[in-house]
Amino acid sequence: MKVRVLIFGPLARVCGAREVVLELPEGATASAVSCALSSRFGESAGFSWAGARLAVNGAFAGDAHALRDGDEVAVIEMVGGG
Amino acid sequence: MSVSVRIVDGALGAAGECEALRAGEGLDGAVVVFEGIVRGEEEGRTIRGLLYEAYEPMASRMLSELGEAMVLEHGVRAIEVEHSRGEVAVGACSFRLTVRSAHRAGALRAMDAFIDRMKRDVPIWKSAVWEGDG
Repeated sequence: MKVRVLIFGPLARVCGAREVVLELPEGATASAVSCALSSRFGESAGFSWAGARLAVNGAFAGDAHALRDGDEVAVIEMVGGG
Repeated sequence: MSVSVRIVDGALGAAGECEALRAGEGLDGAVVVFEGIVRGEEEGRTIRGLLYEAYEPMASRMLSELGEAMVLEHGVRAIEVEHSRGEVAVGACSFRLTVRSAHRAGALRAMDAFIDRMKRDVPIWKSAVWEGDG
């Protein structure tokens, strides 16, 4: 299955990417996204992907959240409104 | 109870007129307004402005839920949130929070708590726009 991952703000700048499409095995959970991003971007600028806060389709989701084909996953890290 | 959220492109306009701020049908003994202004320096370097990104509609929904939580936790009557997205120049306003309450103490507590939680949880990001950036 494919999921679309959105990266924002300073983290997007560090990664050099704002959107990534990941091909994951059926039954994958949100933790697979963190692992895949860590493999792709490394521990950039001191940021650890393990335990990164993710939102799936607009709502926070834990590591065990089961993903579906076509899900939109947003990385909610380094936020700083105001 | 009333919560309103507005995410707008670019800098925020001027705050409401005093009469509008006072509108509360005699219920509000306190109206506290906080405005966030873009400073001209980040990490010791001069900047042209800040670029705000919001992950919508999650950002608006979370701001609204946060406002509702402040009403419940601090007993305030109304919360109005305005936040910029896109580029905001140095010296301009990018965030305005207005809290209306019968009494000062709850309004001030709600103001502080709202901003702390927003900065921690709400999917809004800011990045410096350096002088010379395209």
